[in-house]
Amino acid sequence: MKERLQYVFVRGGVALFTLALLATGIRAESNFEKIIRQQNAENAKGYVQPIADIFGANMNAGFSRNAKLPASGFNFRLDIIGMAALVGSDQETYMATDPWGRKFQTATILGKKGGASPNPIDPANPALEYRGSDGIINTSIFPFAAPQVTIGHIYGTEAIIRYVPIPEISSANLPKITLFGAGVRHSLSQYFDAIPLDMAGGFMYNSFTVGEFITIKGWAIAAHASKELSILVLYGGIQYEKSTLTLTYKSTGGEDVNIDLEGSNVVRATLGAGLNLGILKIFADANFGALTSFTAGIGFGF
Amino acid sequence: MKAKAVVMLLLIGMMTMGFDCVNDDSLFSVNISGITGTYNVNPGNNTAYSGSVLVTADNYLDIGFDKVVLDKVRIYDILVSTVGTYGGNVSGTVQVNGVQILAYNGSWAAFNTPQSLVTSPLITRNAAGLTALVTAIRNKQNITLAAGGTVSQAPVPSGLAVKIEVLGQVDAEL
Repeated sequence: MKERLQYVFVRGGVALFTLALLATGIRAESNFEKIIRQQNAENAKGYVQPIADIFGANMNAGFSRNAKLPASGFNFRLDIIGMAALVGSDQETYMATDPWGRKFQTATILGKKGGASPNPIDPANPALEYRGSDGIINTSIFPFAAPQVTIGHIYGTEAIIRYVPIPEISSANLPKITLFGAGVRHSLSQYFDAIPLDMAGGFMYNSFTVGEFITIKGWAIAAHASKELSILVLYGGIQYEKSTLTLTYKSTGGEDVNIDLEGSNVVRATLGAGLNLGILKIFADANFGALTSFTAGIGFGF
Repeated sequence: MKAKAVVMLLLIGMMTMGFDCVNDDSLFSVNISGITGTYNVNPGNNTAYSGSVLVTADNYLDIGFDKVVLDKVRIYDILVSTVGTYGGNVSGTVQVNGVQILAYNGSWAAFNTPQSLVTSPLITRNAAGLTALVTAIRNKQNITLAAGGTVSQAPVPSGLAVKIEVLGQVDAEL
Protein backbone atom coordinates (compact mmCIF):
# COMPACT_ATOMS: atom_id res chain seq x y z
CA MET A 1 0.00 0.00 0.00
CA LYS A 2 2.78 2.36 0.94
CA GLU A 3 4.67 1.57 -2.25
CA ARG A 4 1.52 2.03 -4.28
CA LEU A 5 0.89 5.39 -2.67
CA GLN A 6 4.42 6.50 -3.37
CA TYR A 7 4.03 5.29 -6.94
CA VAL A 8 0.85 7.30 -7.38
CA PHE A 9 2.57 10.38 -6.08
CA VAL A 10 5.58 9.85 -8.26
CA ARG A 11 3.46 9.32 -11.33
CA GLY A 12 1.36 12.30 -10.39
CA GLY A 13 3.57 14.86 -11.98
CA VAL A 14 6.66 16.89 -11.89
CA ALA A 15 5.99 19.25 -9.04
CA LEU A 16 4.31 16.81 -6.73
CA PHE A 17 6.92 14.27 -7.62
CA THR A 18 9.52 16.78 -6.70
CA LEU A 19 7.83 17.45 -3.43
CA ALA A 20 7.35 13.81 -2.61
CA LEU A 21 10.66 12.58 -3.81
CA LEU A 22 12.90 15.48 -3.04
CA ALA A 23 12.13 15.68 0.61
CA THR A 24 9.99 12.86 1.80
CA GLY A 25 9.70 12.90 5.49
CA ILE A 26 11.22 15.12 8.07
CA ARG A 27 12.39 12.23 10.16
CA ALA A 28 12.86 9.54 7.54
CA GLU A 29 15.50 9.93 4.88
CA SER A 30 14.05 10.74 1.47
CA ASN A 31 14.90 8.88 -1.70
CA PHE A 32 16.29 12.06 -3.16
CA GLU A 33 18.46 12.58 -0.12
CA LYS A 34 19.69 9.02 -0.44
CA ILE A 35 20.67 9.73 -4.04
CA ILE A 36 22.31 13.05 -3.29
CA ARG A 37 24.33 11.90 -0.31
CA GLN A 38 26.14 9.35 -2.48
CA GLN A 39 27.84 12.23 -4.26
CA ASN A 40 30.35 14.75 -3.09
CA ALA A 41 29.13 18.31 -2.71
CA GLU A 42 30.51 19.41 -6.06
CA ASN A 43 28.76 16.67 -8.02
CA ALA A 44 25.57 17.10 -6.01
CA LYS A 45 25.55 20.74 -7.04
CA GLY A 46 25.75 19.86 -10.71
CA TYR A 47 23.06 17.21 -10.38
CA VAL A 48 20.56 19.54 -8.70
CA GLN A 49 21.45 22.86 -10.36
CA PRO A 50 18.59 22.71 -12.93
CA ILE A 51 16.08 22.51 -10.12
CA ALA A 52 17.55 25.65 -8.60
CA ASP A 53 17.37 27.41 -11.97
CA ILE A 54 13.81 26.36 -12.71
CA PHE A 55 12.30 26.83 -9.29
CA GLY A 56 13.96 30.22 -9.08
CA ALA A 57 12.58 31.26 -12.44
CA ASN A 58 9.10 29.94 -11.66
CA MET A 59 8.95 31.33 -8.16
CA ASN A 60 9.88 34.84 -9.29
CA ALA A 61 7.26 34.81 -12.05
CA GLY A 62 3.73 36.16 -12.01
CA PHE A 63 4.61 39.35 -10.20
CA SER A 64 2.57 41.66 -12.40
CA ARG A 65 -0.13 41.68 -15.08
CA ASN A 66 -1.14 45.33 -14.90
CA ALA A 67 0.80 48.43 -13.91
CA LYS A 68 -2.28 50.56 -13.42
CA LEU A 69 -2.52 51.03 -9.67
CA PRO A 70 -5.23 53.24 -8.20
CA ALA A 71 -3.99 56.04 -5.99
CA SER A 72 -6.33 55.04 -3.18
CA GLY A 73 -9.34 52.94 -2.27
CA PHE A 74 -9.86 49.35 -1.22
CA ASN A 75 -9.09 46.74 -3.86
CA PHE A 76 -8.81 43.01 -3.44
CA ARG A 77 -7.83 40.35 -5.93
CA LEU A 78 -7.13 36.63 -5.79
CA ASP A 79 -5.08 35.18 -8.62
CA ILE A 80 -4.34 31.56 -9.32
CA ILE A 81 -1.09 31.62 -11.24
CA GLY A 82 0.53 28.82 -13.15
CA MET A 83 4.18 29.13 -14.09
CA ALA A 84 6.16 26.90 -16.42
CA ALA A 85 9.83 27.07 -17.31
CA LEU A 86 11.22 25.43 -20.41
CA VAL A 87 13.87 22.79 -19.79
CA GLY A 88 16.75 23.18 -22.21
CA SER A 89 19.01 20.37 -23.37
CA ASP A 90 21.90 22.09 -21.61
CA GLN A 91 20.13 21.37 -18.32
CA GLU A 92 20.16 17.63 -18.90
CA THR A 93 23.90 17.11 -18.42
CA TYR A 94 26.75 18.51 -16.39
CA MET A 95 30.46 17.87 -15.99
CA ALA A 96 31.01 15.81 -12.86
CA THR A 97 34.34 15.02 -11.23
CA ASP A 98 35.40 11.41 -10.84
CA PRO A 99 37.33 10.14 -7.79
CA TRP A 100 40.61 10.75 -9.61
CA GLY A 101 39.89 14.40 -10.35
CA ARG A 102 38.93 14.01 -14.00
CA LYS A 103 35.82 15.52 -15.56
CA PHE A 104 33.15 13.43 -17.22
CA GLN A 105 29.73 14.20 -18.55
CA THR A 106 26.73 12.74 -16.79
CA ALA A 107 23.03 13.36 -16.28
CA THR A 108 21.49 15.99 -14.06
CA ILE A 109 18.26 15.33 -12.23
CA LEU A 110 16.50 16.34 -15.47
CA GLY A 111 18.77 14.24 -17.66
CA LYS A 112 18.54 10.76 -19.07
CA LYS A 113 21.24 8.12 -18.59
CA GLY A 114 24.14 8.84 -16.29
CA GLY A 115 27.62 8.94 -17.73
CA ALA A 116 30.59 6.86 -16.65
CA SER A 117 34.27 7.58 -16.19
CA PRO A 118 36.50 4.65 -17.16
CA ASN A 119 38.99 3.51 -14.57
CA PRO A 120 42.55 4.48 -15.60
CA ILE A 121 43.91 1.08 -14.62
CA ASP A 122 41.56 -0.80 -16.93
CA PRO A 123 39.48 1.58 -19.07
CA ALA A 124 37.70 -1.22 -20.91
CA ASN A 125 36.41 -2.87 -17.76
CA PRO A 126 32.92 -1.59 -16.80
CA ALA A 127 33.22 -3.29 -13.41
CA LEU A 128 35.89 -0.77 -12.45
CA GLU A 129 34.34 2.45 -13.76
CA TYR A 130 32.81 5.26 -11.77
CA ARG A 131 29.28 6.11 -12.81
CA GLY A 132 26.95 9.04 -12.27
CA SER A 133 23.30 8.54 -11.47
CA ASP A 134 20.58 8.68 -14.11
CA GLY A 135 18.22 11.61 -14.23
CA ILE A 136 14.92 11.35 -12.42
CA ILE A 137 12.60 13.61 -14.38
CA ASN A 138 12.18 13.62 -18.14
CA THR A 139 10.33 16.73 -19.16
CA SER A 140 10.62 19.66 -21.51
CA ILE A 141 8.58 21.95 -19.30
CA PHE A 142 8.52 22.28 -15.53
CA PRO A 143 5.37 23.70 -13.95
CA PHE A 144 4.64 25.39 -10.69
CA ALA A 145 1.59 27.16 -9.33
CA ALA A 146 0.68 29.57 -6.59
CA PRO A 147 -2.28 31.52 -5.31
CA GLN A 148 -1.65 35.22 -4.95
CA VAL A 149 -3.64 37.88 -3.10
CA THR A 150 -3.26 41.55 -3.91
CA ILE A 151 -4.62 44.21 -1.57
CA GLY A 152 -4.48 47.99 -2.10
CA HIS A 153 -4.27 50.91 -2.38
CA ILE A 154 -2.69 53.64 -0.36
CA TYR A 155 -0.77 56.33 -2.21
CA GLY A 156 -0.74 54.14 -5.28
CA THR A 157 0.74 51.22 -3.37
CA GLU A 158 -0.44 47.64 -3.11
CA ALA A 159 0.67 44.59 -1.16
CA ILE A 160 1.03 41.10 -2.61
CA ILE A 161 0.89 37.91 -0.58
CA ARG A 162 1.46 34.28 -1.55
CA TYR A 163 0.97 31.67 1.12
CA VAL A 164 0.43 27.94 0.84
CA PRO A 165 0.93 25.90 4.01
CA ILE A 166 0.59 22.18 3.41
CA PRO A 167 0.91 20.25 6.66
CA GLU A 168 2.92 17.09 6.98
CA ILE A 169 0.96 14.13 5.62
CA SER A 170 2.50 11.17 7.36
CA SER A 171 0.42 8.57 5.54
CA ALA A 172 1.71 9.84 2.21
CA ASN A 173 5.23 10.35 3.52
CA LEU A 174 4.99 14.02 2.56
CA PRO A 175 6.77 16.57 4.72
CA LYS A 176 5.47 19.97 5.63
CA ILE A 177 5.57 22.25 2.62
CA THR A 178 5.31 26.00 2.78
CA LEU A 179 5.22 28.56 0.01
CA PHE A 180 5.41 32.14 1.18
CA GLY A 181 5.72 35.30 -0.80
CA ALA A 182 5.31 38.95 -0.01
CA GLY A 183 5.73 41.99 -2.16
CA VAL A 184 4.84 45.57 -2.68
CA ARG A 185 4.22 47.61 -5.82
CA HIS A 186 4.02 51.34 -6.18
CA SER A 187 2.57 53.38 -9.00
CA LEU A 188 5.18 55.40 -10.88
CA SER A 189 2.88 56.79 -13.52
CA GLN A 190 1.15 58.97 -10.91
CA TYR A 191 4.29 61.11 -10.96
CA PHE A 192 4.49 61.38 -14.76
CA ASP A 193 1.25 62.60 -16.29
CA ALA A 194 2.71 62.94 -19.75
CA ILE A 195 3.59 59.27 -20.17
CA PRO A 196 0.85 57.37 -22.06
CA LEU A 197 1.56 54.14 -20.22
CA ASP A 198 0.82 52.99 -16.73
CA MET A 199 4.01 52.27 -14.86
CA ALA A 200 4.84 50.71 -11.53
CA GLY A 201 7.83 49.46 -9.63
CA GLY A 202 7.95 46.75 -7.04
CA PHE A 203 9.78 44.28 -4.89
CA MET A 204 8.83 40.67 -4.19
CA TYR A 205 10.26 38.04 -1.84
CA ASN A 206 9.44 34.34 -2.10
CA SER A 207 10.39 31.24 -0.18
CA PHE A 208 9.49 27.61 -0.72
CA THR A 209 10.35 25.12 1.97
CA VAL A 210 10.03 21.36 1.74
CA GLY A 211 10.61 19.67 5.07
CA GLU A 212 14.03 20.39 6.48
CA PHE A 213 15.83 19.32 3.33
CA ILE A 214 15.15 21.97 0.70
CA THR A 215 14.66 25.68 0.95
CA ILE A 216 14.39 27.97 -2.05
CA LYS A 217 14.44 31.69 -1.47
CA GLY A 218 14.29 34.43 -4.00
CA TRP A 219 13.64 38.09 -4.47
CA ALA A 220 12.91 40.31 -7.41
CA ILE A 221 12.86 44.01 -8.11
CA ALA A 222 10.92 45.03 -11.16
CA ALA A 223 9.66 47.86 -13.32
CA HIS A 224 6.30 47.22 -14.95
CA ALA A 225 4.37 49.00 -17.71
CA SER A 226 0.94 48.36 -19.14
CA LYS A 227 -1.66 49.85 -21.45
CA GLU A 228 -5.38 49.22 -21.21
CA LEU A 229 -7.28 49.06 -24.48
CA SER A 230 -10.89 48.52 -23.45
CA ILE A 231 -10.96 45.06 -21.83
CA LEU A 232 -7.52 44.20 -23.23
CA VAL A 233 -4.43 44.88 -21.16
CA LEU A 234 -1.01 44.72 -22.73
CA TYR A 235 1.78 44.60 -20.22
CA GLY A 236 5.49 44.08 -19.87
CA GLY A 237 8.37 44.62 -17.56
CA ILE A 238 12.00 44.26 -16.71
CA GLN A 239 12.99 42.37 -13.60
CA TYR A 240 16.23 41.81 -11.73
CA GLU A 241 16.06 38.76 -9.50
CA LYS A 242 18.01 36.36 -7.35
CA SER A 243 17.16 32.91 -6.09
CA THR A 244 19.02 30.39 -3.98
CA LEU A 245 18.24 26.74 -3.39
CA THR A 246 19.70 25.38 -0.17
CA LEU A 247 20.11 21.65 0.31
CA THR A 248 20.78 20.40 3.80
CA TYR A 249 21.69 16.77 4.31
CA LYS A 250 24.16 14.33 5.80
CA SER A 251 26.76 12.87 3.48
CA THR A 252 27.57 9.17 3.44
CA GLY A 253 30.53 10.06 5.59
CA GLY A 254 28.21 11.49 8.22
CA GLU A 255 29.09 15.10 7.53
CA ASP A 256 26.46 17.82 7.63
CA VAL A 257 26.39 19.35 4.17
CA ASN A 258 24.82 22.64 3.20
CA ILE A 259 24.81 23.45 -0.48
CA ASP A 260 23.67 26.79 -1.85
CA LEU A 261 22.79 26.87 -5.53
CA GLU A 262 22.16 30.18 -7.23
CA GLY A 263 19.41 30.25 -9.84
CA SER A 264 20.66 31.16 -13.29
CA ASN A 265 17.88 33.60 -14.06
CA VAL A 266 19.02 37.08 -13.05
CA VAL A 267 17.35 39.42 -15.52
CA ARG A 268 14.06 38.81 -17.28
CA ALA A 269 11.94 40.70 -19.75
CA THR A 270 8.22 40.03 -19.61
CA LEU A 271 5.63 40.51 -22.36
CA GLY A 272 2.02 39.61 -21.79
CA ALA A 273 -1.64 40.33 -22.29
CA GLY A 274 -4.74 40.06 -20.19
CA LEU A 275 -8.47 40.49 -20.30
CA ASN A 276 -10.46 42.47 -17.73
CA LEU A 277 -13.89 40.83 -17.70
CA GLY A 278 -15.46 42.50 -14.72
CA ILE A 279 -14.35 40.72 -11.59
CA LEU A 280 -12.78 38.03 -13.74
CA LYS A 281 -9.26 38.60 -15.02
CA ILE A 282 -7.37 36.35 -17.39
CA PHE A 283 -3.73 36.85 -18.25
CA ALA A 284 -0.73 35.18 -19.81
CA ASP A 285 2.83 36.25 -20.43
CA ALA A 286 6.18 35.08 -21.64
CA ASN A 287 9.40 35.67 -19.76
CA PHE A 288 12.77 35.86 -21.44
CA GLY A 289 16.03 35.52 -19.56
CA ALA A 290 18.57 32.80 -18.91
CA LEU A 291 15.49 30.59 -18.85
CA THR A 292 12.39 31.07 -20.92
CA SER A 293 9.24 30.67 -18.91
CA PHE A 294 5.55 31.28 -19.25
CA THR A 295 2.91 32.43 -16.84
CA ALA A 296 -0.84 32.15 -17.11
CA GLY A 297 -3.53 32.79 -14.61
CA ILE A 298 -7.01 33.65 -13.68
CA GLY A 299 -7.96 36.29 -11.15
CA PHE A 300 -11.02 37.35 -9.26
CA GLY A 301 -11.31 40.78 -7.75
CA PHE A 302 -12.02 44.40 -8.10
CA MET B 1 -11.97 20.13 7.29
CA LYS B 2 -13.73 19.50 3.98
CA ALA B 3 -12.69 22.93 2.78
CA LYS B 4 -9.08 22.18 3.70
CA ALA B 5 -9.22 18.94 1.77
CA VAL B 6 -10.62 20.70 -1.28
CA VAL B 7 -7.96 23.38 -1.10
CA MET B 8 -5.24 20.75 -0.78
CA LEU B 9 -6.55 18.78 -3.74
CA LEU B 10 -6.76 22.01 -5.72
CA LEU B 11 -3.20 22.89 -4.87
CA ILE B 12 -1.95 19.43 -5.70
CA GLY B 13 -3.86 19.55 -8.97
CA MET B 14 -2.40 22.94 -9.75
CA MET B 15 1.07 21.80 -8.98
CA THR B 16 0.91 18.60 -10.99
CA MET B 17 -0.89 19.95 -14.04
CA GLY B 18 -1.23 16.49 -15.46
CA PHE B 19 2.42 15.96 -16.26
CA ASP B 20 3.68 12.42 -16.30
CA CYS B 21 7.38 12.47 -16.90
CA VAL B 22 9.30 10.45 -14.37
CA ASN B 23 12.03 8.24 -15.78
CA ASP B 24 10.74 4.77 -15.00
CA ASP B 25 14.00 2.92 -15.47
CA SER B 26 16.39 5.28 -13.72
CA LEU B 27 19.35 3.74 -11.97
CA PHE B 28 21.11 5.57 -9.19
CA SER B 29 24.72 5.01 -8.26
CA VAL B 30 24.93 4.10 -4.60
CA ASN B 31 28.15 3.79 -2.66
CA ILE B 32 28.95 0.45 -1.13
CA SER B 33 30.09 0.96 2.39
CA GLY B 34 31.52 -1.25 5.05
CA ILE B 35 34.07 -3.25 3.08
CA THR B 36 36.92 -2.05 5.23
CA GLY B 37 39.44 -3.58 7.49
CA THR B 38 41.84 -2.22 10.08
CA TYR B 39 44.79 -4.42 11.00
CA ASN B 40 46.81 -3.63 14.09
CA VAL B 41 50.58 -3.92 14.06
CA ASN B 42 51.46 -5.17 17.50
CA PRO B 43 54.13 -3.24 19.40
CA GLY B 44 57.38 -4.95 20.21
CA ASN B 45 60.05 -6.77 18.29
CA ASN B 46 57.80 -8.75 15.96
CA THR B 47 57.66 -6.83 12.66
CA ALA B 48 55.03 -9.05 11.06
CA TYR B 49 51.32 -8.34 11.21
CA SER B 50 48.22 -9.98 9.79
CA GLY B 51 44.51 -10.16 10.27
CA SER B 52 41.20 -10.68 8.57
CA VAL B 53 37.79 -9.06 8.72
CA LEU B 54 34.53 -10.72 7.77
CA VAL B 55 32.05 -8.37 6.10
CA THR B 56 28.66 -9.94 5.59
CA ALA B 57 26.56 -9.26 2.52
CA ASP B 58 23.79 -7.94 4.74
CA ASN B 59 26.23 -5.39 6.04
CA TYR B 60 27.75 -4.07 2.83
CA LEU B 61 24.43 -4.15 0.96
CA ASP B 62 22.63 -2.20 3.66
CA ILE B 63 22.50 0.89 1.48
CA GLY B 64 18.99 2.11 2.11
CA PHE B 65 17.43 1.14 -1.21
CA ASP B 66 15.04 -1.78 -1.62
CA LYS B 67 15.88 -2.52 -5.24
CA VAL B 68 19.57 -3.05 -5.86
CA VAL B 69 20.96 -4.08 -9.24
CA LEU B 70 23.93 -6.23 -8.28
CA ASP B 71 25.04 -7.18 -11.77
CA LYS B 72 26.15 -3.57 -12.21
CA VAL B 73 28.49 -3.54 -9.23
CA ARG B 74 31.60 -1.45 -9.75
CA ILE B 75 34.79 -1.38 -7.68
CA TYR B 76 36.42 1.89 -8.63
CA ASP B 77 39.19 2.10 -6.05
CA ILE B 78 40.80 0.61 -2.97
CA LEU B 79 42.56 2.81 -0.45
CA VAL B 80 45.45 1.67 1.71
CA SER B 81 46.47 3.85 4.63
CA THR B 82 48.46 3.67 7.83
CA VAL B 83 47.50 4.89 11.29
CA GLY B 84 50.12 6.17 13.71
CA THR B 85 53.65 7.51 13.50
CA TYR B 86 56.51 5.25 12.47
CA GLY B 87 59.85 5.96 10.84
CA GLY B 88 60.21 2.82 8.76
CA ASN B 89 58.59 1.18 5.77
CA VAL B 90 55.60 -1.08 5.41
CA SER B 91 54.82 -3.78 2.87
CA GLY B 92 52.10 -6.34 2.58
CA THR B 93 49.30 -7.89 0.58
CA VAL B 94 45.52 -7.86 0.74
CA GLN B 95 43.32 -10.85 -0.10
CA VAL B 96 39.63 -11.04 -0.82
CA ASN B 97 38.18 -14.45 -0.03
CA GLY B 98 41.65 -15.89 -0.35
CA VAL B 99 42.57 -14.24 -3.64
CA GLN B 100 45.23 -11.55 -3.57
CA ILE B 101 43.84 -8.24 -4.76
CA LEU B 102 46.82 -5.95 -4.20
CA ALA B 103 50.28 -5.54 -2.76
CA TYR B 104 51.68 -2.40 -1.20
CA ASN B 105 55.16 -1.24 -0.35
CA GLY B 106 56.45 2.13 0.77
CA SER B 107 57.30 4.34 3.69
CA TRP B 108 54.87 4.27 6.60
CA ALA B 109 54.63 8.05 6.45
CA ALA B 110 53.60 7.98 2.78
CA PHE B 111 50.68 5.74 3.65
CA ASN B 112 49.54 8.14 6.38
CA THR B 113 47.87 9.79 3.39
CA PRO B 114 45.52 7.15 1.94
CA GLN B 115 47.06 5.66 -1.20
CA SER B 116 44.84 4.80 -4.14
CA LEU B 117 45.02 1.53 -6.01
CA VAL B 118 44.36 3.53 -9.15
CA THR B 119 46.84 6.35 -8.81
CA SER B 120 49.50 5.36 -6.29
CA PRO B 121 52.84 3.89 -7.46
CA LEU B 122 53.11 2.25 -4.05
CA ILE B 123 50.32 -0.23 -4.79
CA THR B 124 50.28 -3.09 -7.29
CA ARG B 125 46.95 -4.60 -8.21
CA ASN B 126 46.06 -8.16 -9.05
CA ALA B 127 43.25 -8.32 -11.59
CA ALA B 128 42.14 -11.74 -10.37
CA GLY B 129 41.46 -10.32 -6.92
CA LEU B 130 39.33 -7.52 -8.33
CA THR B 131 37.35 -10.08 -10.30
CA ALA B 132 36.89 -12.18 -7.16
CA LEU B 133 35.62 -9.16 -5.25
CA VAL B 134 33.15 -8.16 -7.97
CA THR B 135 31.93 -11.73 -8.25
CA ALA B 136 31.44 -12.03 -4.51
CA ILE B 137 29.32 -8.90 -4.38
CA ARG B 138 27.27 -9.91 -7.40
CA ASN B 139 26.54 -13.20 -5.68
CA LYS B 140 25.77 -11.55 -2.33
CA GLN B 141 28.58 -13.51 -0.70
CA ASN B 142 30.22 -12.61 2.56
CA ILE B 143 33.65 -11.11 2.07
CA THR B 144 36.74 -11.93 4.06
CA LEU B 145 39.19 -9.09 3.72
CA ALA B 146 42.60 -10.22 4.91
CA ALA B 147 45.83 -8.27 5.09
CA GLY B 148 49.29 -9.11 6.22
CA GLY B 149 52.86 -7.99 5.85
CA THR B 150 55.82 -6.58 7.66
CA VAL B 151 57.20 -3.31 8.86
CA SER B 152 60.88 -2.66 8.34
CA GLN B 153 62.35 -2.15 11.78
CA ALA B 154 61.88 -3.14 15.38
CA PRO B 155 60.93 -2.17 17.96
CA VAL B 156 57.47 -1.39 16.68
CA PRO B 157 55.84 1.43 18.59
CA SER B 158 52.31 1.09 19.86
CA GLY B 159 49.25 2.45 18.09
CA LEU B 160 50.13 1.39 14.55
CA ALA B 161 47.58 -0.05 12.13
CA VAL B 162 47.05 -0.61 8.43
CA LYS B 163 43.65 0.26 7.03
CA ILE B 164 42.11 -1.08 3.81
CA GLU B 165 38.99 0.55 2.35
CA VAL B 166 37.15 -0.71 -0.74
CA LEU B 167 35.27 1.94 -2.71
CA GLY B 168 32.49 0.67 -4.91
CA GLN B 169 29.09 1.41 -6.36
CA VAL B 170 25.98 -0.54 -7.12
CA ASP B 171 22.96 0.67 -9.03
CA ALA B 172 19.68 1.08 -7.23
CA GLU B 173 16.13 1.79 -8.34
CA LEU B 174 13.55 3.83 -6.51
